Amino acid sequence: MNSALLATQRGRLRRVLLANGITLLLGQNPTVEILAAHCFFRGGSRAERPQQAGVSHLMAAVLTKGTHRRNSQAIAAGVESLGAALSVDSSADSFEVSLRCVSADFPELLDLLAEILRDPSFPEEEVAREQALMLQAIRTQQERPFSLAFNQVQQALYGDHPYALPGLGRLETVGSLTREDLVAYHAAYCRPNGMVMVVIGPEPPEQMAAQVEAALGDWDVPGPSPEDRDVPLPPLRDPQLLRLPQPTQQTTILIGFRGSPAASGDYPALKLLATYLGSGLSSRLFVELRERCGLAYEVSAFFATRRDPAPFGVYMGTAAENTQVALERLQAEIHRLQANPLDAAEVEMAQRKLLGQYALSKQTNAQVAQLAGWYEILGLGMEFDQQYLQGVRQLTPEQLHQAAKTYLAHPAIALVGPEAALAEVKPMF
Amino acid sequence: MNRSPRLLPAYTHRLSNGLGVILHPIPIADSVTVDVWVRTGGRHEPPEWLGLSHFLEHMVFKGSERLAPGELDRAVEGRGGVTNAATGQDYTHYYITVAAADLADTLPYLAEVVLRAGIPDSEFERERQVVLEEIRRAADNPDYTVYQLLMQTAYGEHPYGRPVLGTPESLMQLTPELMRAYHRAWYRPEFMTVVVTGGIDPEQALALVEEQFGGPALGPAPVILPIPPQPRPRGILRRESDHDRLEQARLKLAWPTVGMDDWQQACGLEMLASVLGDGRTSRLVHLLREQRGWVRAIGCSSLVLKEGGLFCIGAQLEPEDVARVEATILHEIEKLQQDGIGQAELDRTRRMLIHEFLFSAESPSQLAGIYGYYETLGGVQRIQEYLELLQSFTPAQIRELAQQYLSPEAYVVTVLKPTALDTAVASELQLACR
Repeated sequence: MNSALLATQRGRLRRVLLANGITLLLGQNPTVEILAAHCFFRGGSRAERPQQAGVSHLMAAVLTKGTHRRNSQAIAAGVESLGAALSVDSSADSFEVSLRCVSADFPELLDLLAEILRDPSFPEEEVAREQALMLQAIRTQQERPFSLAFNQVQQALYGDHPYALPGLGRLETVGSLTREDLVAYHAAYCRPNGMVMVVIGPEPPEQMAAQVEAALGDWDVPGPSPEDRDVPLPPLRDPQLLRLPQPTQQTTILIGFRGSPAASGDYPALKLLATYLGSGLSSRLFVELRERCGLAYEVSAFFATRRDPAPFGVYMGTAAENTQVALERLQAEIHRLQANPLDAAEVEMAQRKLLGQYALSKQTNAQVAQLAGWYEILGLGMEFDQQYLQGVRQLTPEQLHQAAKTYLAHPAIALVGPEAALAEVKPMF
Repeated sequence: MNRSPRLLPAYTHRLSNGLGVILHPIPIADSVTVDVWVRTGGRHEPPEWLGLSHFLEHMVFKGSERLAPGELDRAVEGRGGVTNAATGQDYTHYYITVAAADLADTLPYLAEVVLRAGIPDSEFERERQVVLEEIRRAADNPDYTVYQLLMQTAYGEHPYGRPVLGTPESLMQLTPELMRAYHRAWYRPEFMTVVVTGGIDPEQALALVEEQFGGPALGPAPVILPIPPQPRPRGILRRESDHDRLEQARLKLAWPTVGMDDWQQACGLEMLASVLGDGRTSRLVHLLREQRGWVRAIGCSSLVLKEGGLFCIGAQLEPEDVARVEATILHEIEKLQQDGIGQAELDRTRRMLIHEFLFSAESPSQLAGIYGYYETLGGVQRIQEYLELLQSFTPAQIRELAQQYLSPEAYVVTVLKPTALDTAVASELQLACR
């Protein structure tokens, strides 16, 4: 088989629906012995009630710390004696249990994985320890200027919506969580119906499907799923400037906006704008603010992939005495996108960059599995991979201009840096 | 898996000008990575040139007589590729990853800027500001601060004790003339390795590399300064400092070990580090994080540089727990020295390290980095030796390594604490013997 065919085969996943509602996506890559298995569940921060912010994260931290048959060390030994890695992560719209191993060990580890998903015991002492460590983690987030800035911007943009909070929750809410909260959260969201599992490994898809079916096929649906509610967003506010004095050497500047959901027709345009502004050494912000002005080492842009309108942002770190000029320049770049359409050549360059770098971000089995599962659990389907790229290819300068005018009009700006430098700053609103 | 996997480059070659070439086709890959490694970094800088290698790495992207600043970036990224570079104590490297079909069109840009960097005066001043921002950004990061504090304390006057980024003062002393001379002296074929991995035809790739990198050196060879031996503490060398914005303390313990040339010992120390701190069943993670909850995180690593290594244990924890965590770590080491490790513990470690290695070598860019790194530090055969040595170590040998290197009476310890809790004078340096 030639290499192009092999690469396509790994990327082209087969979808299998089990009777209990598990969606399986299977891909074969015969060139390595490595297998990646990623399980996704709806939930994440978005499903949390405000007074329980952080529950998804804490549940994820304790999930692998005991089942009704094995304690935490036995589980860890089961994984580590096979040289595998098992991790649980909670994010904005979902949580994910992922496994990486040598393919020959998969059946054994799959049994352990199934036991963890179906039968966790959430031991009291493990809950207490992880809770204490999570409270420490919430505090240490403050050590990173970027986190401080991003948390402020999220608060300003999202109000009472769960995206306003960092995934770890707040000291008050995490401090009040109990074992029962974790058990209830797990029962509601860690369930077969709606679960997505992606497996990419060297064996034929039929074989991997049979293995998963044997381990998870008899997992019965535990009663009705929790209501999949719409979470209201607060109205967009006037531009805001948030100052957070910190004794740092640099000022961190973050300008955030509320972008579109991943399912929106505007998603590809915002992705392309983020690429144009901040991706790589030839991006607009890098060239203007770093190469031409020497104002920053790190300067970039981001736009997340989420179920509800996702944050879009540009950010940089600059010497305290340059705070005003750097903020003006950064704001000017946003205003430029709103004022006039970009040249066709600039848009084409950004398109080539996005399409090529997107392909390069799918070089390992784990990367392919992660992305496909993410799209599937967001309700977009793994086919979104190609639909999105098609959308990017068709974008015109006018569509980008329209997206900039629509989405980049209500900034929340956070400044984190020395008090004296922040006090004098005047934004251009 | 109980056999050792093989990881040898498919082709190694030396051009007539002395440049090393490593080629490794990967059947599934539709991308190609070219990674150019140069055998110079912080280690070869005299004190008054501190930060020169890293600053040069920035200036390479400013083009040559024939290429304007940023042209390499546009050529690569405009085709959907990525490019970047990094500088360490023992190396500087530059890489591009592009679609296989774009290799011939992009490689000349990389070769041009790396071999014939122009280092224009006007760009030099501007880029110096960027490097100063990089230093400020690092200073705002407590983990960088404590790492630098450890290296400084452990290596003293040895080059590895100094920051690769340089300092604001040292950067202001550097000039474009000095940088051009340094570039001509060190970026010469016999000090360089070009690694090409991914969707390639090896013969075509070799011809391309020869065409682009086959020329002679552009200047006289450098004067290589003698490197002093790695200092070894005779007692407990303790250094505490504070940081304004710290929420939790950082504790780091370190013991001087071996350089790349003592590869057998280095591989054994890697296993010892894994026994102590890799995974939830490892000794220190199990006891201090999982059982007692005294640390938020703890890890162990065997850092092996060309001219001497450090065995490091690092923890993030509440300031009031620093003393009892340090004591517990030492107690665990003494226990290992007395009782040794079991066969099952060794098997677990072996499997974890081999699999971690496999996981880290899956994509063309990861693989290129591994080949380039090992070839630059001691020869690419080190990789295969590592995988085979992992199979050969016995529990008794691991215990002997712990006895030989991890003395509870002589080590380096650095602590970074939140400012308010630090009652002593900052950066107090004391040398004590037990």
